[in-house]
Amino acid sequence: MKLLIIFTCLTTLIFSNMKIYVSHTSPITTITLQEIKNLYFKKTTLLKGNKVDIYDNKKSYKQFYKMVLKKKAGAIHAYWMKQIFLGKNVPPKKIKSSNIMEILNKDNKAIVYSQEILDAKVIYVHP
Amino acid sequence: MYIRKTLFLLFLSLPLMAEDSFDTKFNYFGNIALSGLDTSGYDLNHFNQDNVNDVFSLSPYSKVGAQITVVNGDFTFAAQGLLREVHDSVKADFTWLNLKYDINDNYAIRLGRIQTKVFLYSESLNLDYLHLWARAPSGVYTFMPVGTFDGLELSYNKVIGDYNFNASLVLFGSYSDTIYADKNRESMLKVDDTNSLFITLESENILYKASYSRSHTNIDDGLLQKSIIQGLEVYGNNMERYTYEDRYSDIYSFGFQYRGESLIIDAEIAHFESNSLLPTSTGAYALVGYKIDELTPFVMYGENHNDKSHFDTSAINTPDATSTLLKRGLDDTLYLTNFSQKTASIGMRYDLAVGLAFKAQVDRITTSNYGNISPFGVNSAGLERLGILSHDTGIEDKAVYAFTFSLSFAY
Repeated sequence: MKLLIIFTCLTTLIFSNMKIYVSHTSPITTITLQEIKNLYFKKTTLLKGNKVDIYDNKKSYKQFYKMVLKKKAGAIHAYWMKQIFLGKNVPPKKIKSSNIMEILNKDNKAIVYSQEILDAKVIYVHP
Repeated sequence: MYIRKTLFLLFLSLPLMAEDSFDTKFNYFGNIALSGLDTSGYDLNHFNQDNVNDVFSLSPYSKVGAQITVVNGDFTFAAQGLLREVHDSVKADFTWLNLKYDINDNYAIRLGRIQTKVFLYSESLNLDYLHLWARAPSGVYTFMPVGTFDGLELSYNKVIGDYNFNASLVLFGSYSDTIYADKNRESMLKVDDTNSLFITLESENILYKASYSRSHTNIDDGLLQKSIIQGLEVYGNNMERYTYEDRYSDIYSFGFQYRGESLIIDAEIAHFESNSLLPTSTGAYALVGYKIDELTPFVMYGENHNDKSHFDTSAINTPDATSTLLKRGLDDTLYLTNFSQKTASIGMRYDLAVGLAFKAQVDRITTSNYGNISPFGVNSAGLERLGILSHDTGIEDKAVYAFTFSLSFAY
């Protein structure tokens, strides 16, 4: 029984970890937290010299920005309002969790986060 | 006009140019503001808008705007419209109407109507939701009488570790609009050949900004002013430099911003000089706020100094009573904007929901060296460009309180 509880807890922990995924064919193997911030706030569109396409995952959106980027919903909203209304940039495209694999298979420049285990290359696991 | 036509054609050709699909965003913003002064006989001139006087009103800070942004690969088209009341009539403007092309990760080019970037918050001045204050520090922000230019912008962007470096060059900027010397007197302001350089260095918490702009400016000289100048020329005086027309203006600014977990600091200094009748102006302000959950109280202090000491009228030849009277009229024109203003503010912002904030601000405003020197006043054109506080002739100088309450939103 104890083993079952420990197994369940560990599984939940592993499953709830936020992970950043790219396609298996992507040349990218790792990403730092600072690089994640630069990409998700669209300070750059390049990662280690490679052009990338950034996606937000509707299902894990709030957790990602709170856990990984340490930003509250209000701060994120204000940031993108400023970017949009100053004509600088628009936020990353938001996609459904069920569409992630389709996008990763189709686009080897795609980068997306998820708390689920997917058949794709993990380049970052948030502790 | 040529730029707008080019831009329109470029926008229409977007589908032909790009392989990627369109990503279209529609956003809107607004500000419902109640503002007023506590003293009759005073007006608070603010930018190019309606005056705030002793009767509380919804103008001039109330506004509503909307923007459509279309992204297609490396092209971004933005059109933003703004609706507000200006001097008792509703005015609609395009505040953005441009096409941006990201050449690569570092270089971008933008063509069309672009908002000025002279000060820290020039680009977002109409977006009240983005600011802590309810009323911008006019001691600095009124140096810039226009908010937009039609022109070309080249920008360079580079991420250096935790910092983001940006340098932008605006070339061949032009703009024209009606400005108000006072509430009932209109004048035409034309700005062209504006060339500017803006440099920002930004990290997650800190931002530094420096800018330099040079413009060719043209403000119509008032009829009375023209009569005075022509009158003095009859006495053999060279009065060529006593004009607002066909002149040059320079603005330098430096700004600093800090956004901590709770602490918020903004500070900015700016200097304006011109070879026109406009005064040489230096202004600065500092704002400190402290975020406690959704509530952010703040204090702000700003002051500016305007003088025309570079116009020495003592050498003007005045052999008789008429010429002496004319010279006093000229001195009036010069002295009317030869004043300094100090504004101490206290306020708060309360974030009611994501995208919605309530703000309140009280400003205590004092002026010095204000007013005309002769019993009859000659208003100078471009007076409202200096913004700030004006009062009826004969009213004793004293502190004036301005109150502003607003509900700001952006979605």
